[in-house]
Amino acid sequence: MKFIWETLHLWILLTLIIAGGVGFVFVQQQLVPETYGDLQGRYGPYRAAALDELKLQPEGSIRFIADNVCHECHESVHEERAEAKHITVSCVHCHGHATEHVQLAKAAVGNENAVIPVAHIWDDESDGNATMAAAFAKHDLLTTEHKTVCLSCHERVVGMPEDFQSIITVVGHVDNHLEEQGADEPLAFNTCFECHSGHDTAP
Amino acid sequence: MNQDFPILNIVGSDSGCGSGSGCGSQSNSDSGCGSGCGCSSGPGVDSGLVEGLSEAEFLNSLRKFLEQASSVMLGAVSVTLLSGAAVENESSSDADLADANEANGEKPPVYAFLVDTEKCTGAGKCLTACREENNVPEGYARTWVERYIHLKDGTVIVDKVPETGYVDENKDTYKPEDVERSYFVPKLCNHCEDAPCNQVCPTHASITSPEGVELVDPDLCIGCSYCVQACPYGVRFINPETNNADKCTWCYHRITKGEQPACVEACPTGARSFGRLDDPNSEVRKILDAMPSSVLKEHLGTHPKLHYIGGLPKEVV
Repeated sequence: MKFIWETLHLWILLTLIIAGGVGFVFVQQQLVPETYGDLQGRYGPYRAAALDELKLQPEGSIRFIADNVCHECHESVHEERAEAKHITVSCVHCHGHATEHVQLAKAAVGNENAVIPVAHIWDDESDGNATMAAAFAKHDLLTTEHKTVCLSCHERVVGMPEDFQSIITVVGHVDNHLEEQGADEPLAFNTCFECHSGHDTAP
Repeated sequence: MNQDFPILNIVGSDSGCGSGSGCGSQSNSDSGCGSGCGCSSGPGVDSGLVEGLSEAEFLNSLRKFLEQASSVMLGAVSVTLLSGAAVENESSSDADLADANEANGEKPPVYAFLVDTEKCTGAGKCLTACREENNVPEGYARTWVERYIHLKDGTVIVDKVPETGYVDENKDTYKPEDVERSYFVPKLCNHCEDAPCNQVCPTHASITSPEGVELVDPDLCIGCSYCVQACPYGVRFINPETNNADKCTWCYHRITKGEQPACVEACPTGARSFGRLDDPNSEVRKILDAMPSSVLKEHLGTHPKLHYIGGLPKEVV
């Protein structure tokens, strides 16, 4: 008893050290994020759960629909485009975002009367909605807007590869291109599709 | 305690971790458990599977030893030592990484990104696709396309392709007869194997996924922008909406589902391509095998995984 009493200051110190150590470990456990250190990078541990979070579609984003998704349903277009030069141009560029269109279309497989929004950005005829059957019907894309779509790639700018098919425009007008090609009268709609085709290999 | 130390010597000599790194010989727990073993700190790309495993075993046995030691000693000193040592152990990276992947029974894919500057037409479709796919705020970009114009008088002009392409109001005023040559160079994160941005991150928010993709952990990032300064390619920025560092992820959410990154899907001319480097039949592998390619700022030793087909002119940095 006397021994303990005489060395009390050491015991207090020991208790404090142990308490400090336990406290440190406790605080560390609270502060270190879950799954931290489960995986190792080149420069140290990281939070493994971050990978799963980053595998989710970013919030507020618009998913880019790849062509093969479109071709699952629109097979005829796939065949039409198979040999076309424009096969490398994504459907989305001309027809607009199709995220909702694809989601609803997938959910409505087999239901001919399901209402799904059209993917086309410029088709207002059906108030942005069409039945499954109508969605497969050919849409008339002859509007003034699609010239912009074509010219967004085919307008000649400095820097383009020499062999890329492009036309020189004057303030967005293609008059000199028409002249070059020998169009003898102004075209009815002044649109590209009167001579060209987006899907097949027509020049 | 001493009975455990022969483990250090055995593994040290077995692992062949280095000419004269001397990690086995100094037998005290402080130097053994941490940075004393020089083999682990270097970029151990070349360390084979056997080395990796033996190192992992070594680290495991060391960790067990330290746990036992702490349970005996029961004190703040040993507890602190353990936690410190554990962190040191973790930082020896590749061994544990290889170990974890080994446990899954499959090697993670190795990706590469190819850019063909001869095909790029500056349409800017990739820029829009990237912005929408990843919800990048206006005024910032994870990928961009530079245009280099060599004028006949010797000057070189560099500008960025507007997101809408060079239509109407963006139409440029250079006369074709003044231009000697001109080309577009798409840029994005290089996903370096030795990424400087990753090294400087103070909160371990800058991470390399098992696939070798450089990512930012949004939970741990404090937006200090050290990585923004460290990146030699200028691909990082602080996202004003999240106050996190933001960068190209190669569309990690897409490639992990077997899809292509949005910019690759969007490119109308096939100037961008992406694929697995470890698959001998992949398009990317075949192109890289068949054609010469170059990377940006090779002299920095960052080992980028973004390759440019053909040689890049010296003006492109």
